[in-house]
Amino acid sequence: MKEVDSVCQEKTYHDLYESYAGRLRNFMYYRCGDLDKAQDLMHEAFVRLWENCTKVLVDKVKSYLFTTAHRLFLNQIEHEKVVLKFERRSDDKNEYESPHFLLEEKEFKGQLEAAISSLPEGQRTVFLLHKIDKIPFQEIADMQEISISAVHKKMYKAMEKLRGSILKETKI
Amino acid sequence: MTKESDDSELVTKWLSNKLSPEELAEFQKSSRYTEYQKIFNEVESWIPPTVLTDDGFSELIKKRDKVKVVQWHQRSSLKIAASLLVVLSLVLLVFRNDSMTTVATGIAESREVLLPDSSIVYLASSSILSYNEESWNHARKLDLKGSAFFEVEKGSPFEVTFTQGVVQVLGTSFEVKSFADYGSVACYEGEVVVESGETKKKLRKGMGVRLENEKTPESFEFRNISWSKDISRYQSAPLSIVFERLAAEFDLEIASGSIDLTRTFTGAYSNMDIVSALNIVSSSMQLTYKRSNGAVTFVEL
Repeated sequence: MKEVDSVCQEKTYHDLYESYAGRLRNFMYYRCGDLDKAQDLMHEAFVRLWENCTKVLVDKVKSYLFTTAHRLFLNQIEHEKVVLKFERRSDDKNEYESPHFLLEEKEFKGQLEAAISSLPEGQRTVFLLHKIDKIPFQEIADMQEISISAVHKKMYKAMEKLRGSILKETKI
Repeated sequence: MTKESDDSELVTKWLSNKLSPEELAEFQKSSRYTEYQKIFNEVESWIPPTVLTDDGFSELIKKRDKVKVVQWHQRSSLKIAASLLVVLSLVLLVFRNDSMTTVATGIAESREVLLPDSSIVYLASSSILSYNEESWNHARKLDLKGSAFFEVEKGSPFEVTFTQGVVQVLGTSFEVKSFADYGSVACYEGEVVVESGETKKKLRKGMGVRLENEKTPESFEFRNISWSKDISRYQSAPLSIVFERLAAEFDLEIASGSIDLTRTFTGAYSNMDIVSALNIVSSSMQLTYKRSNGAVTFVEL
C-alpha cells in the first residue's frame, strides 16, 4: 500500500483530464452559453488541481474539480443572455424519415433550444446535466453545493417552463 | 393546498422515484407526462457542440506551467495571525463588558454566530457584533460594525444598530454593511425596515438601500437573490470601501495613489480567491495593479 496514485504524476493528471474534462466543460457551457469561456473555466479548474495536487486525493478529484469550476463561474461578473446550440448524436437513426417530418423535428429542436436558453441559469444547468450528461440529482446537488430538494425544485420548474413554451408554440 | 403545489409534489416524487406503482400508472396516462417525454426524447438525442480534441490537453499544460505558485505559505501564516487577532480582541472585549457578548473577526477571518434564539449571523472579516445575552429574550438587539448577513428566526422584533442607522425585522434574511462613512442594507427574504436619521424605508426581497454621509439614502434593487458567505457583493459602493474590504478579506496593504476613490463599484467577487477578486475589481474600474506578497498597488489604466 505504499505506492498510491498521486494527482501530481503526469500520467494520473492526464487520465483525470480524459475522464472529467468533457463533462466539466459541458457543465460550464450550460451555465454561460459560451464555448470558449467554458473551456477556459474548465482549464482553470485543472490548473488549480495541479497547484493543489499534493492535497487532493485521487478519489476526491471529481468533486474538487466541479466545486472549483462552480466557484470560478460565480466569480465572473453578472452574466449576459445565453444562446445555447446543440448537435444531434450521430447514431440518431432519422434517415428514414420523410423530409416533412425532418423539418418539423428541426423546428422543434430550435424551439426547445430557445426555450432552454431562456431558462434561469440554475434551472437550465440542472436540467441539462441530468438529461444530456445523465448525472444523478444527488451528484448535481453536490457539484453546486445545494440540497437535493433544491435540485428537484429547479428541475420541476425547468420542465414546467419548457412544457409551457412548447405548448404555446404548437397550439396554432 | 393549491393545484400548483400538488403538481410540484407529484412531479418531484416522480423525479425521485418515489411514486407508488399505482400513482405512476396514473401519472403516465396524463397529457403532462406525454409532453415531458416529448421534450426529454428530443433533449436526450443532443450533444453539446464540438468534441474535445487532444489540443485541449496540450493547451492546458501550457497554461498550467505558466502559472506561478505564490499563495500557499502566505495563506497559512496569515491564518495564524488572524486567529491570534480574534482571540486577542475577544479577550479584550469580553473582559471590558460583562453582560455583553461580543464577537469580533480579524483580518481574513469570517465567523458564523448562533444567537440564543437560533438566528444565525455570518460575520465577515474585520467586523464586530455585540448583543446582551441576558436580556435577549425580551429584546433581540444587536450592534454591528463592519459587514454581516442575518438569518432571523421568527419572533419578537429583531433590531440591528449600525453606524448609519437601525434595521428592524420580524423574521427574514438580510445583509448589513457598515463602515466609517458608508453603509448599506440588502434584504434577501421577507421584509425589513431601515431607519436612518429622518428617513424610514421598508425593503422587500431584492431591495436595498445605500446610506452615505450627508447624502439622502438611495434605494437599489438586485437580481441575484442568493447570498453566500464566500461572495462579496457591492451595489454602487465607493471604491474606498471596496479597497478597505479587499484589504481586510485578504490581508493586503493597498496603495491607490491618485485614483479617485469616490467612484463606485457594482459587482461581486469570491473572497476565497485573491487573484480573481483583484482582477474583477481592477478590470471593471479600468484599473490595473501590481502585487508583491501582501502589497497591492492599483493604478489607472
